[in-house]
Amino acid sequence: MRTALVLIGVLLVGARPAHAFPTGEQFDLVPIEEDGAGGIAFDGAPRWAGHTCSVCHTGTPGRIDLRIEADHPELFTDGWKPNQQYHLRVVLENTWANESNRAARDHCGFSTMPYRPCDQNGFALELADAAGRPTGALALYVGTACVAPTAMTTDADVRLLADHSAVTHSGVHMGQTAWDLCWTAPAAGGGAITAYVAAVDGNGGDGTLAFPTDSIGDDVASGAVPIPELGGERVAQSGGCSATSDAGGLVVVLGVLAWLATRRRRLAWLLAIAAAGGCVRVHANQRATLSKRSMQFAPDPTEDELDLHMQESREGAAGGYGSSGGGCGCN
Amino acid sequence: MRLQLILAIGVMCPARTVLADTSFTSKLQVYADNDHTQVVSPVVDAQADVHPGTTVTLGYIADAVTSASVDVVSQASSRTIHDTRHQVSGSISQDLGSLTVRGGYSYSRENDYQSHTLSAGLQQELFDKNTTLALGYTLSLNTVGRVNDDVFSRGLTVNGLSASWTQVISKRAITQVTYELGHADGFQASPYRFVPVRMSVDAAPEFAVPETDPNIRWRHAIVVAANRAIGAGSIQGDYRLYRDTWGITSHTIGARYFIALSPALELRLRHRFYVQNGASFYRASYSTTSSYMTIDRELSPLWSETLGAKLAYAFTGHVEAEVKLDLFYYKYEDFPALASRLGTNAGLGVTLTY
Repeated sequence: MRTALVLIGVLLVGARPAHAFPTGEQFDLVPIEEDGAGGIAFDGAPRWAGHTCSVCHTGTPGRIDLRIEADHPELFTDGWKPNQQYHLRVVLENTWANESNRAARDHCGFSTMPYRPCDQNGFALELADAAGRPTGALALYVGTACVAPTAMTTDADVRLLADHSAVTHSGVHMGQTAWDLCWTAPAAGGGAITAYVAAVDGNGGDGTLAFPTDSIGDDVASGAVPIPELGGERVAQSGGCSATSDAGGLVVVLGVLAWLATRRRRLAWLLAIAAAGGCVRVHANQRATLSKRSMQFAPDPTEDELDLHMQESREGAAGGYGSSGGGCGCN
Repeated sequence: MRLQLILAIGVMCPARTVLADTSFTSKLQVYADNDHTQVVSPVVDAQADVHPGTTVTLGYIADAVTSASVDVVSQASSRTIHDTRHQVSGSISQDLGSLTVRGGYSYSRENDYQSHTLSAGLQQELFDKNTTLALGYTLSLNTVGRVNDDVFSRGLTVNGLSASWTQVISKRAITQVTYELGHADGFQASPYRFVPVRMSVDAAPEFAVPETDPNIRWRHAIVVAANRAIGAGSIQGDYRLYRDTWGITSHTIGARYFIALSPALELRLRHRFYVQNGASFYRASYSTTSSYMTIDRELSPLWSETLGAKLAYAFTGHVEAEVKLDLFYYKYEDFPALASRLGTNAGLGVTLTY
């Protein structure tokens, strides 16, 4: 009897969901002893091997979007100006997890009866140079001004990592979908910079006091925004062909295909593949959406084979969609 | 300090990984139409990574057919036929860095038809996996027989060559262009179908001759497809242009819409439109004989519409079940024996992944 109870206890402990990082301090804590991130921001930067919040927050539906705003519009269009201080805002859009408790703001959690799960969202951001090193200087944005973190700024919505290389949510307030921060650009000659950002739309843990935060059932978004140096060489935003949108890229491909029909085809194919492949670079850690089943051209090969066998035995055309199996299908 | 909205960035949406090291799929599909044909198709498929980079698949499909279609009623001695097609298949693929090599074999058998199919393919990833080029070759060796006729045996050899170019356009969009060339050499008519020759459309047949199609058929198909993520789902579209040396030109337009109703429940809606002209030698009725004679409705001018819905529910990370229903309609523009065909394709399935 005693043995059975011990076994059940071990299994229950083993099944405990992983804690998330509801407070900014946890990003700096020791992983094993203090359930922290060990100084890793999980914002998708190269120094973290592209890892984002999705390392722990798995199985997310990917319905949320993410946006970066700046007080100087030319930051993202013309480039960063040496030593210029920028007010940035990270905004979560299309949030859905634990939406019903957003309006409660900080009136949630252990102090509420009955228990109300907190709408606790978070983010992480850093700006890195071409070598992947953090660059510039990050600061808090409190009230209407940029301030350096001090012991007096405990109520700020964001927090700098201990080494000031990245910024995360502070976790002080609930129901947040936007975070303000400041960044001072480096001295001239820093070259192209990329802003790496990731965010979590939390669902309030398992909805009970037992697990107010965990890594299950949340939603995650992440991305990288290239920022050229003012007057320097421009860089393309990752995930798209420069100066074109999705539709623009498609038009390029289709336009070249149309040209194929009438011109020197071998040369056209080579040009088309080189052009399309050369200008579009979506990196491996940015392909979570593309790897979904709903983005596959043959999401269900078994079903496709059955359907093709039926269609090809009832129509004059065949080919182009894969294998339909053998046999006649003459009836 | 006034904030101005500047830039929206694309978003990465981590999601369930579809492909697993080992998976087992079982489906049952039931086809029924108002031309008195029913087909019950059980399917089992298994896939396993047997070695790092090496994937093996095995599959079995059966088609249990019961039919009293206009073809069967007008031509065959028995007014209702029962037949079962069995197909076994296997394939192996090996990743060699950015190159993947694949080979496969399938064998299918029914009362009057045997088929051996060999396939091979190469897939090369380029530009940090943003571009994928693939080549495929298929050889199918078929033997056509006739029930209750031990003497009748005809051969049909089909070669297929395909090339595809898949291109990532952005983090949420991908396109694909596929060209497939097919060459069939051998008996391609129905061994049961006889073409009546009559003096006028309404007259009784003077006599009937065995259906005769050209032995050679070259097929060309090009498919342009694009997938775009919409929220947690996606929308997919494709267009196929098809031409062959029998004079058939067809257009196929397909659209699929995946909607994530919840993290575990996915709805797929789809629509397919197909239209073709008739083969150059097809006639609704013949008043004299000619080199090639067919009354095969699949070679007549026709169009079709298909609407379908499928629900897939993931019970856990390892078990997923699905249910689907397709409704299709075929309209025959120049086939006197049948003006249209209306039917359904219903299915159930479960997939286990580890």
